[in-house]
Amino acid sequence: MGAGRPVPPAVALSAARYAALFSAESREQLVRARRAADAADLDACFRAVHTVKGMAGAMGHAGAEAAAHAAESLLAGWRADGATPSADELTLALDLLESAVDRAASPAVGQAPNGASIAAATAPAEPRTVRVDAALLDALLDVAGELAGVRGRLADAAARVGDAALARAVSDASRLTQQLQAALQEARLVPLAELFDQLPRVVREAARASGREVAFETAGGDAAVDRGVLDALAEPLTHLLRNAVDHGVEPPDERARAGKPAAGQVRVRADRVTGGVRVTVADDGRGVDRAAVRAAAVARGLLPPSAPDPLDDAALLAVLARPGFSTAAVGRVSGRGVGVDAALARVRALGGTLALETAPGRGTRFALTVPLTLAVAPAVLVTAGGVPYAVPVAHVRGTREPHPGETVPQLADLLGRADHPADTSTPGDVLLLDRGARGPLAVGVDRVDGQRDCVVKPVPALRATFRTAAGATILDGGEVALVLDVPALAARLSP
Amino acid sequence: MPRTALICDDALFMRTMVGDILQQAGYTVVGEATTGAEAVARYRELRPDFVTMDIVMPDMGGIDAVRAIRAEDPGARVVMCSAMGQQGLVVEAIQAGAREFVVKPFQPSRVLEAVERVLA
Repeated sequence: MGAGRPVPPAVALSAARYAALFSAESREQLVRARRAADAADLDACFRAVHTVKGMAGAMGHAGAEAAAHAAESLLAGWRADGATPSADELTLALDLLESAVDRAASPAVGQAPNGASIAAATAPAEPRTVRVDAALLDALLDVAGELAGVRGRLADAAARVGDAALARAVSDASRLTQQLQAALQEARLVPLAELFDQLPRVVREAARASGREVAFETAGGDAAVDRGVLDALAEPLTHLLRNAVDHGVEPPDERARAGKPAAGQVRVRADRVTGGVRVTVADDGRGVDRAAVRAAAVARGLLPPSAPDPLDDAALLAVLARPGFSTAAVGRVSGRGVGVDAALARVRALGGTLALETAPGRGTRFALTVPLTLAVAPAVLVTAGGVPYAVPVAHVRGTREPHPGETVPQLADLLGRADHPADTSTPGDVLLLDRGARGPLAVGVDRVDGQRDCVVKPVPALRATFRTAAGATILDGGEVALVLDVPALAARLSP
Repeated sequence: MPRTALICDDALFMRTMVGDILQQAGYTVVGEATTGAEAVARYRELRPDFVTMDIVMPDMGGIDAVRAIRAEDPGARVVMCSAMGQQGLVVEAIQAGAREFVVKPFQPSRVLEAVERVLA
C-alpha cells in the first residue's frame, strides 16, 4: 500500500463529494465482495460488505445499510459455523445489496452524511426466508450462550499463557462467537405486528363489556423484537388497553358533554429507541384523577398527608403500581384501574421501564420501553469495594486510568454499599458510564476485570433492595455479580 | 504547533470524512493507512500525536494493530472507530490500548471530543 492520498486543504463537508465517493467506493467494494465470494474468501467478503454498511450508515441510506447488514449477518453465520456457504444465497444477498446501493446512489436520494431524511424508496427487497422451529433457535442460542462463557474462560487462560498465536486465535474465536450470537438473536426477531394484530379483538371485547365506543389503531408494527419479548409484552399491553377502554375513555354521553367525538381514540404504537423499542398505549379519555388517587393513597397509608398535591406523573404511577392498590374500589373513580402493578412487574422483569403521562380531560399515555432481545448481553466486569459488578457494554463509553491527582466518585460509595467501602489504597481504574446527551459519568472502581457475555437474570427481589441493579449474572467461578442499571444510577445521582 | 493525526480505515470514504472533521478543527493529517499492517508501519515512520483506527480492516484488524502499536510505543494515543453492532469489540479494543472510541456513523462533535480526550 502507498502513502495514502495527498492531504487535502480543509474543505467543507460537501454533500456532492461524499455522494460521489459513496457511489464509486461502494460499487468497488461490491466488486471486491463478489470476487471474494467466488474465491470462497468469506473474511474478505465480510470486510467489503461491512465497509459498504459503514458508508451507507454515514450517508443515511437506511435501505443500503439494512441490505449490507443482512448480507453481513449471513456471512457472520457462515463464518461462525464453518459451513461451506451456498453460492446461491451469497449471490442473492450481494444482488440485494447491489440494487439497494444503486437506489441509494441514484441522484434522487443523494444526501449529506448523517442526513436527517431517508428516502423511503431505498427499502431493500423482500429477503428469502426459511421456516425454522422456534425451539431449535432457542437451543442454538443456548449453545451460543454457553460458547460465549467458554470463550471467556479461554481468554483468561490464554492471557496467563501469553502466547501471541493463541491470543490471536482466541480473539478470532470471540469475534466469531459474537457474530454467531448476533445472527441467532436476529433470527429470533419477529415483527410486533404479530401481537398488534390480536389487539383489536381485546379492544372490541372491552368496549362491548363497558358500553364504550372506541376507534382503535396501531402503528409501527414492523418494528421487530425477540420472540420472548413479544410474548412477554402481550399481558401488560392487554392490561393497559383494557384500562384505556374501561377507565380512560368516557361513556358516549359524557364525551358528548365534553365536546368530544362519541368514539374514544385508543392508539398503540411502537417506536425504535436506543437499545430497544418503546410501545405507547394512548387514549383521549378523561385522564387519571390525581386528587382521587392521592386521597385514596393517603387514606390507605401509602402516602403521608404531606405528600405533594397534586402528584406529578411519576408519583402517580408509583402509587398506581403499588400491588393491589388499583384493584380496590378506587380503580373505578380514579380513571385508572386494574393491572398497572402487573404491567410494571412484567416490564421490569424484561429489563424495561414504564412511564405515565396524563392530562385531565385530554387523556392518558403509558409508555413501555423494553429491550429488543433478552438472552446474552456483553458486559464489562469491574470490582468495586471488593465486590464484582457487571456493567452492560451498551452503557459504557470506555475505561481509562485516572488522571494524576484526579478524584472521581467511587462506584462502591455511589451504590451505598457501606459494608464494602471503596478500596482507595490503589489508584484503581475509571469507568465512563454513558448518560446519553448528558455526557459520560466517570466513576472509580478498584479495577476493570474484563469483558464477558452475561446472561442477565432478572431478580425482582434484588431490585427492591438495590434500585440500581438490573438483575444478576453468574460469573465463571460461580460467583454472582449484580448487573448495574446504569440509567437508574445516573437518574439517582442527578434526577 | 498543530497536532498530527494518522487515519486508519480501509474505506476512502471514511478516511475523507474523518480527515475533513479533523482538519476543520485544526489538526494536521500526516498520513493514512488502509490495513492494520500498514497502520503499524505508518505509525512507526510518522509518530503522529494520535491515531484514528477502524476495527474491521484487511491484513491485520484494527484491534491487533492497536496492540502492535502500543507494544512499540506504550504512550500511543488511539481513538477506535467502530460500526454499529460492534459494541462487543469496543471494550476489547480499549483493553488492547485504545484510549477512546466513537461509533459510526460519525458525529463530528463526538469524534473531536474523543480526540480532545486522548490528547488531554
